[in-house]
Amino acid sequence: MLDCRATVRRLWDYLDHELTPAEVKEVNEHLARCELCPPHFEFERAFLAAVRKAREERGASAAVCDRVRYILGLSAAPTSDQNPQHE
Amino acid sequence: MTDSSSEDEVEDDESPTDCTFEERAVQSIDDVARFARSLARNDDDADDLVQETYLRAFRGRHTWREGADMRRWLFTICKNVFLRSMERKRDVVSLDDAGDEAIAAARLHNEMVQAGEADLFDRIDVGPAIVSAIHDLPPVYRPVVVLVDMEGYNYEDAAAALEIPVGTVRSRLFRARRQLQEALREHARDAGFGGARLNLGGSA
Repeated sequence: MLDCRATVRRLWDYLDHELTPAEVKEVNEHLARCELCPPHFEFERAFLAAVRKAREERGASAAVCDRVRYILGLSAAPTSDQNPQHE
Repeated sequence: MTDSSSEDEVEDDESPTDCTFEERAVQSIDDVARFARSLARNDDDADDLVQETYLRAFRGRHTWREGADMRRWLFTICKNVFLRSMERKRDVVSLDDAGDEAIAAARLHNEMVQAGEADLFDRIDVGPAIVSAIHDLPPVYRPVVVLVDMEGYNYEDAAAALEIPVGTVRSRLFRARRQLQEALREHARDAGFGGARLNLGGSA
């Protein structure tokens, strides 16, 4: 059986689904009988969800979208100084 | 080395196959932009990196294999363009045990519980702070966080896209996460979150 330290060492690999089924089973068994470790896992799960959600705030800018669409021949040339240096 | 050197190694794409190369490529532009920002130091440089990535992809479109993972192909081109622009590789990371980083993260969580800060994700919008904190990470950490934590890559695919060992992905990722959490803790404190009012683990 895993102790708390060994379980927490697997925390990130567990949350990232990088453990083998046998390793996941060991972590789950520990979490089921431990009062101290589950809050760590829940906190880090919330953290990862927050980072994932922040993804929505980091898309491409309108300017670069225009330039790329022009490069790919999907739209007309961008206006003014947005023209790419297309060889 | 060509920009499309890893093209043949990418997994099959799950996107619809009735799109043209150009249509498929542009579908990934938000992902490529996020990745470019993880490499570049500012948004202007990132935009230039995205543009150069697509220019090279367009020129090398004959080397793209139908059914290959377009997004990963573009990430690899983007990374190579960036490395070439830097004219050197910044690839120095000590190989501390990644598991120790998880222990450190749990320790940080304990401190945040003590300070009444542990539920900050439920109580304040940390999105802008996360974006800012990612931007402030050391350059070698940023692309790993973006690929794994934002784009949903597993360690192996991130390692392939960045052409680094899986162990390096893990160590950089775990360390970056701890730095992000420390930055978010500072953000929470600056926002007046936590403190004695919520201190449930006081000394009484």
